[in-house]
Amino acid sequence: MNLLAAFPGKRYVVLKIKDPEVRRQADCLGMGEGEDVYCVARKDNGPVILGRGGQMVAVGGEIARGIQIAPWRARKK
Amino acid sequence: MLAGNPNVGKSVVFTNLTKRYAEVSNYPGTTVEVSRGFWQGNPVADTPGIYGLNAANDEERLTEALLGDADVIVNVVDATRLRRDLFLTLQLIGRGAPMVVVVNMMDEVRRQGQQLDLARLESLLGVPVIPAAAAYGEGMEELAQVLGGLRHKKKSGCRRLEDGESLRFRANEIYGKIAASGGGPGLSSLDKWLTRPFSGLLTAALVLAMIWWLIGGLVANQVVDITEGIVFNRWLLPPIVRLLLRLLPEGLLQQILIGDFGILTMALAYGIGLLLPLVFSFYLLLSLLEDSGYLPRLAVLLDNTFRPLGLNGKAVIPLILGFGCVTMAVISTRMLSTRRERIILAFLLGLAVPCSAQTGVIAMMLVPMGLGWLSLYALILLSIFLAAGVILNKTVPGQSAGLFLELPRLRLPRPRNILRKSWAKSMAFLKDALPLFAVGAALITLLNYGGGLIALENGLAPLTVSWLKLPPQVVGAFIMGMIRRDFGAAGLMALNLAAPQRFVALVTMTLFVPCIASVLVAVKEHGLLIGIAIWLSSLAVALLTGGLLAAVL
Repeated sequence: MNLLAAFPGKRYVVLKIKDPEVRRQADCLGMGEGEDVYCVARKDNGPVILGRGGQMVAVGGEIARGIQIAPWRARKK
Repeated sequence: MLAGNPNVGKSVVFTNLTKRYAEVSNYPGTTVEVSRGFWQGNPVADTPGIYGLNAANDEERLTEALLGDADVIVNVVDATRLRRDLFLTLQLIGRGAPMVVVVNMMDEVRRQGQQLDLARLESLLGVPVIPAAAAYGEGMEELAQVLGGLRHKKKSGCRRLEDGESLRFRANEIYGKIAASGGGPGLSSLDKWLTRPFSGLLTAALVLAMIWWLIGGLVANQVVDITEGIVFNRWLLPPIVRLLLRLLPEGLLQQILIGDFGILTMALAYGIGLLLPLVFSFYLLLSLLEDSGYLPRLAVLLDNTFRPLGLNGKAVIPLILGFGCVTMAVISTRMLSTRRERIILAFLLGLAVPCSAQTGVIAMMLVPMGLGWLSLYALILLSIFLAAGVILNKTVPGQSAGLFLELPRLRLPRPRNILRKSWAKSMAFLKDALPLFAVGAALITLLNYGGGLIALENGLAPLTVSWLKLPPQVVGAFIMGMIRRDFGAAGLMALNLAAPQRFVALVTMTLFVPCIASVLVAVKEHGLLIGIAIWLSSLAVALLTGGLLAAVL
């Protein structure tokens, strides 16, 4: 599933970030591939606001479509 | 050299060390250029905030270049976002220069009841770590002591940087050892209110209305009545004019200083008596918005609105700054990711965004005309802004980037910073504007003295009288507007215009060519061709819109 399908309040794992520049920025921010993040708020076509430990990042619709996520619990299984 | 992530308080540490003011705001990208000062005779540089050393943008390249010459690195990190910041800290340690880590905003950590083991952090990083709350001066003495010891230390060799994924893994590992990890969703109810479409737009409209009412209603009437009407026109100017009339023979010099378009009687009176109170009050309000962290929330709210213009929500930050000073806003377009977005926004800023001084004068003239004219003015400007954006999106080559923006926490602005910043910006306005005002006033006096102004008024009558349906004397205001639009708008106040004429003149002046300083910055940032294109297109759109309005009203 991509980031636009995330539900506010749920926790997810970032699986894949398509755009290399966004991947680099997300790594710097600590929200890159393999990290777990909260979906804090979402509009249907973006932006999606991701949170982790009090830190928040707004991701526009186009970029959000290129970010693959999975529910955090599903990954633990 | 100070280095760190955006919005961690580097500029506050810089001000504490050097006693020199560096602008502080609550959004990423406040420092777009390097500020320099001295600490105990040693040069100190405050660099733009960066998230990593990847040479991915101008700020990162600039910081990389400065790191090569740095004798000591002061890495400022945000204690509440330490996990994020450790990524850059590890990269900086790898550069081999003596380094100290200032863990800033410890006051917020204490308020949140969070625990950080900074002694452990120091041993894990292998560099001194100082807890600080720089806004209150906390930790600054300790920093000075550590810096005293570090400046004699030699550089070690530069280590090869690991890739982003391994660095992030190490940063997370260190953070895990010094702090309880995790933390839930961080959106407060105020955050939710500001980023939801209905409540967010309602708040934005209320904020805008409040700014216009305060500037156009309160400051423009009550305060300017005192500064221009009483202080300048009653107290200061009459004795000066009397004295100069006695001292100077009748002629050109007298006209240049105290004539109808004199440097003292017009340029100084407009600059200080009329525009300074408007500019200062505008910056006060703008600083409140900047320091509260509201602007990035507005960026989230308007992201989808900006997409048809080839921009993302981040563009709202330079755009709002443009209502303070368009020149500064053109510089701050650097925070946008691509050249394409920067060019589009530079065009839009030059075309349809009036600066604080101009907004003040426009509000002063429009507010008494009533809500109908005011709404029509806003509607026309918004339509032109959107139409120009759509056209630019279709014509400017390249691709725009999507929104990827870190949201700073919402904060209660500190009155001292608000006042200091507004004062610094207002003084910068005077320094920038007054010489240009003086040149403009002298130019018009010269033209007037030699009969050139009348000739220009007659020569341009087909444009001003027939097309714009304005009196020929409006030429003087537009010449002033070519130097600075706010100066030109102020010049319109001296003319006796009927309501529709006043409206046409104000819209035309708003869209008129950007001030010399902003064109020069646009040329510096994007090249001569873009600068000329911005200037010419603004002129064309202004005259076209003004003429069409004159025909309709």
